Amino acid sequence: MHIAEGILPTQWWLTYSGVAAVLVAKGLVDYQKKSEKWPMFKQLTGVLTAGVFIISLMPIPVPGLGSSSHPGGTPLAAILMGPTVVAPMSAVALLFQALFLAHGGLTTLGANTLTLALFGGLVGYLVFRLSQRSGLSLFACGALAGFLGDLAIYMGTSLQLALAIHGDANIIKVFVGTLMTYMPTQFPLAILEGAFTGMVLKYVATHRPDILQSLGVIKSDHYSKKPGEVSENGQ
Amino acid sequence: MVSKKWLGLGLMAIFAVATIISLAMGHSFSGVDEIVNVEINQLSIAAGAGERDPFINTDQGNLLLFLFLLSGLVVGFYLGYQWRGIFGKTEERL
Repeated sequence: MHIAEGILPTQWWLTYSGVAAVLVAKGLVDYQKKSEKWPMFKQLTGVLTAGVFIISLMPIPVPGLGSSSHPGGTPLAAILMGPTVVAPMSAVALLFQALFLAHGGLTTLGANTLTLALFGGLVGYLVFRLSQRSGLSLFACGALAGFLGDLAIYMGTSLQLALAIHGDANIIKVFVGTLMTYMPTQFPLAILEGAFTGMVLKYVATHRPDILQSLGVIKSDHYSKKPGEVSENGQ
Repeated sequence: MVSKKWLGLGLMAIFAVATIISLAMGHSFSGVDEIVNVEINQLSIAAGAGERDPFINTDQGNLLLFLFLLSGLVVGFYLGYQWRGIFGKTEERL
């Protein structure tokens, strides 16, 4: 999903960066409010930002296809920290990737932030909340959110590229063409990201349910304090 | 019934073996981002842009290594400074 430096024409990278800047500003305001309520929120944001940096960079080979790709990490981050706070987290992770690893770029930082935070984070968060309402287990809620959030990231990148550089070609054709290039490699990784997201949530719920309760991921009355007595219900 | 632990380890082993076989067959495992960027670059050039070198090129000698060392140092000190805030006081954990 990392759009390389220079790929986007000026008016488009400025547009994407402007929208991303608004999202990041909103995320920072929410981050400040949450940090005042719960001081540990700051440290947790830092740790998870490092997590997003690593996860969204880690190339995983897909046997048989001979190509590799990486998960997003933002569906999990958005579930834990909130859908807006994930925007500055993504921006920081992507900035370091662009500066140190030439992965992504400075002009494409806004577009890539939107992809990770808005498409991956927000979609993952919404899917998680909807799944919770339907009474699925915490693992299933997380797995669905991770899976669909991951796919949304690559749909977002394809849409951004199609809008910006379709030229005389049909937008839908460019969108579908780009998406189809991603999908064979990304689909198995989306399944992996789903399993990873579900397992992390289940693990934290079993060992430190207080963290999920403090973050508002689960309600306090649905989880026992004893690790062995954790309810399966994700609500 | 197979335990979750063994199921996970089995899947990882299958994945590792499949990866080794793919490598032996000459697959390069190039990143899908690079593949898309190469394909999309022609459209990008036609739209008046096009892939270019990063503004700050860190691929010079041991510069990247030095920057990682420096970053690790700064982050390590900060992590140490915030240690109790993140992991709690030692007496609380005992």
